[in-house]
Amino acid sequence: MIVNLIIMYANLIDVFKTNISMLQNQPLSGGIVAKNLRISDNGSGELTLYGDFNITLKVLDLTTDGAPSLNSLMTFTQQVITSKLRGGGYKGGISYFKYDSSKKAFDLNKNQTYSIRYSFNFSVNVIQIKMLNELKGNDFVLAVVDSIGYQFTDQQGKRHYSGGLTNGMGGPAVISYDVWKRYKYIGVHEFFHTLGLVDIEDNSKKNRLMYHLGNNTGHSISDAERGDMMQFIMRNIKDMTKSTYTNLNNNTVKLLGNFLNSPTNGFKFNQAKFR
Amino acid sequence: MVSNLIKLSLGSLFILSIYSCKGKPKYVKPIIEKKEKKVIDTCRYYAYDAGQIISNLSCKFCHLSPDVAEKDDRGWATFRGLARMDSLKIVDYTFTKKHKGWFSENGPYKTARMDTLSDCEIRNVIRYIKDSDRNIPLPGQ
Ligand SMILES: [Zn+2]
Repeated sequence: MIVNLIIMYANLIDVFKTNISMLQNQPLSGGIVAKNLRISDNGSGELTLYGDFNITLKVLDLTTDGAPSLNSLMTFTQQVITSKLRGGGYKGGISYFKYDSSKKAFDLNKNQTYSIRYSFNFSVNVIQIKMLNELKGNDFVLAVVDSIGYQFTDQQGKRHYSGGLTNGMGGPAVISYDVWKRYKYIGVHEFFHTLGLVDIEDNSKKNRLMYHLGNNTGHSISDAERGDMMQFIMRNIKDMTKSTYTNLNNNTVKLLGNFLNSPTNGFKFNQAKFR
Repeated sequence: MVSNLIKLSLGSLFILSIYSCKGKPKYVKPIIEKKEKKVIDTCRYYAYDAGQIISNLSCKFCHLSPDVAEKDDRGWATFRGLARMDSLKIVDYTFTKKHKGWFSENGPYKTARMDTLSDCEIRNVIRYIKDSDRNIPLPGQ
């Protein structure tokens, strides 16, 4: 009994040591923090991927007169992102390499076509930061500004004002506070650009969240879009064989600075708040 | 000028004679021209559609898309790395040589149906890849 307790105690110390060294090597911070990752192979071409993901989106208020509705808009955005990412995803016809369950590794010498079932749990946090130094290299950020001057031309050649702009995959994203108040979904729309989705202009798809020519009739996300976001969040299926990881260093602060000050974007905001 | 006109009329005479040999009507040539024009006009770029092709070919499972660097820790080109390559090189490697033959008729990924992509779709896929490194702001709403 006593011997057992001592062994248990020694084991516990080992567990602590492992965790501490892991934390030292790889600080778990940033927009994506993944834990409890594993792959299950059904042996007939289908892999199920499991994991618990923490997604953090930091909101930086750069408006001149302040944004009194910011808290409720952030709560709404957090709820919608959570509900859109819920339910996992499925994608067939993935051209990749053969998974070896016993070695818990992919064999790069053997090609294999898989169907992939994403069984990811998401915990989404949309939080406000007061100072720029609260923003770290691999964070996701949504900066709120007074207005955006940038105009874009749609497929029909019509000009439109922008309520939000995202600097491609990984962000950063910037939205106009006035437009956000009128169209609550724009925060989610821009964040999903950050996760790699593109705009939709097809008239028959006005019910989609990524339709961006105004007068949306709905805010749905297709299974294919959800699958693409899962893939972006996962980044590298090889990492699913580790137990934890975080997203890469995107140097968000520098990207945000360049994006905010690019004259073509025409952002109006309180410069004093971005220092 | 005059010699050009002669060449032109000689040319049409030649074409006319070929078609008359086959017994085809002489207005075949204008129809072909119309078709060629139509092909050029219909190749429009839709980022959404090009993105779907890339998603269905599962390019981003190997060519990692969130990465800032051009190569990953295995030395493989990231999606950004592809964007910085010469377009013709990508077309040749991916669509002509079928990516080491993996996507060819008898390759391990033959079900991906890369063969059914039109020239226009291939061009749009290349543009999508190139645009991913251009930091084009994605306007919303
Ligand atoms: Zn958009």
